[in-house]
Amino acid sequence: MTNPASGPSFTPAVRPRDSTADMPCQVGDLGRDMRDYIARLGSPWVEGEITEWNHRAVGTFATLRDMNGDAIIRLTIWSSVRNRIPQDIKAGDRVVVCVKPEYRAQRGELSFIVSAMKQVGLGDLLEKLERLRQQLRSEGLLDASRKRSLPFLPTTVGLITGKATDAEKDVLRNAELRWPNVSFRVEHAAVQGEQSVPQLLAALQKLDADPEVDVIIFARGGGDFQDLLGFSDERLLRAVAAAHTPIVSAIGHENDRPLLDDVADLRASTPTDAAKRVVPDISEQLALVRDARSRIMTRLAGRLQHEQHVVQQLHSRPVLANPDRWLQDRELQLEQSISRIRARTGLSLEQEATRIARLHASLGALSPLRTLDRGYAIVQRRGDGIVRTPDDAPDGAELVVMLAEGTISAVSRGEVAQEGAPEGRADRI
Amino acid sequence: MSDAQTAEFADVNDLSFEQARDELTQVVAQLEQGAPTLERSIALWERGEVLYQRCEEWLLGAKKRLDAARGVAGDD
Repeated sequence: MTNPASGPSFTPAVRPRDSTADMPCQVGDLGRDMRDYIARLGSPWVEGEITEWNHRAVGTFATLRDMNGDAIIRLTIWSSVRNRIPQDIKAGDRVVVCVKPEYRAQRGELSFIVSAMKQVGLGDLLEKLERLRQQLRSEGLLDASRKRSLPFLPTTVGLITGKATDAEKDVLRNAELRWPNVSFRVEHAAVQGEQSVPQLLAALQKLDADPEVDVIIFARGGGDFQDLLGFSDERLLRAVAAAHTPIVSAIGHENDRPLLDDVADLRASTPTDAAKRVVPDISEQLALVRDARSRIMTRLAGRLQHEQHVVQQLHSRPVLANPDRWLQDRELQLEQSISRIRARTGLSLEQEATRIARLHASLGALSPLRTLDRGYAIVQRRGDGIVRTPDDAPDGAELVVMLAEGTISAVSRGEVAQEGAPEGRADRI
Repeated sequence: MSDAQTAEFADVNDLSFEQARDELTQVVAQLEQGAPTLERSIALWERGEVLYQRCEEWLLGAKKRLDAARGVAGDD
């Protein structure tokens, strides 16, 4: 029995797009269609980072990685082309490549044949970074108002740095010298190369999610500009801008600083500087506290002295210090009133006495007693009124006769005829 | 001091230093302007004395606290 797979196929040719389960296309047909389809892409220029660079006799085989992700393509550079491209290209370089994608149906492989390649110059990189900086600025991610202030004394400091690096030692040593009890959470990450951005992002995510971490430091001890490109990666920058925890950039590269310096809440010139900015100096703080305490004491003592003076002054005011004064004032008022009353009363008495004397004099002048001085007498019937007519003193009536000097008693003998009385007048007593 | 007058004035123990000092200032001003009656003058004077005592006690207490704090500061 023959193996049907080993014999020639008598199935009629079917285009891959028209194929079905009953009418399949052939592998070669699919391969040819793929080759033709891929050929239509032409020869695009592609930017990326060289991650592998292997020389062989026939040519150089390399891997080109996407700058912002994990996509790769395999490059084939034939010897004839290799002489036309820069000779110093190596793994880690950023390049722009003109490739012709080719699908080899016989081997089922897709390869990218390089026809031209150039290194991305520093100028190109800087221009690209500047465009990104402008983009971030337009979104407000570089605004000073967005910068969060660092805590005065962080409970725990997060540190993202390379493993066993000088940067790590510098931060930890300087921080401990300043404040021995400071606590650190260290996350190690690649600080250059293709793994740097994913690892830096993972470390940031972990520390930002830790509620005990009050501030995060990115530390790296300088390096070549291209080595620091990970710290200008857009994904990292946006993650830093979105973080809840204040972030310090301590990459230590004065010229062509990475964009992380602009997005971070604080830029430190070196890892040592970062430690000084993040952790206060205990002796310096102690001196400040003591000085503050001394100033408070002085100010408070001065205030107390002032208040004491105010209270004493109030208390020594005559109205409080000498309350007898009001009594004396009132006594004086009373005495003055009494004097006035007495004076007025005395005056009134004198006036009244004079008036009485005058009245008395007037009375005296008008008194019938004054008539007696001229020899007249007042005759009264004893126990009765004044005798005015003879009828008032009948015979035998007892009389009292009031003279100018004294009084005598008499008895009436009745009416008598008057002799020698002036004519027309009868004087009676 | 009569009950009516006592009711008019707050208990000095409930007053802060500033309140006691300000009221003492007012009492002095009222006395200097001249109270309407002798009884009122005496009531104000008595209040002034009580307020003064309160202020003095407060200041002496504060001074003691300050001296105590100074002592602690000296020990550091």
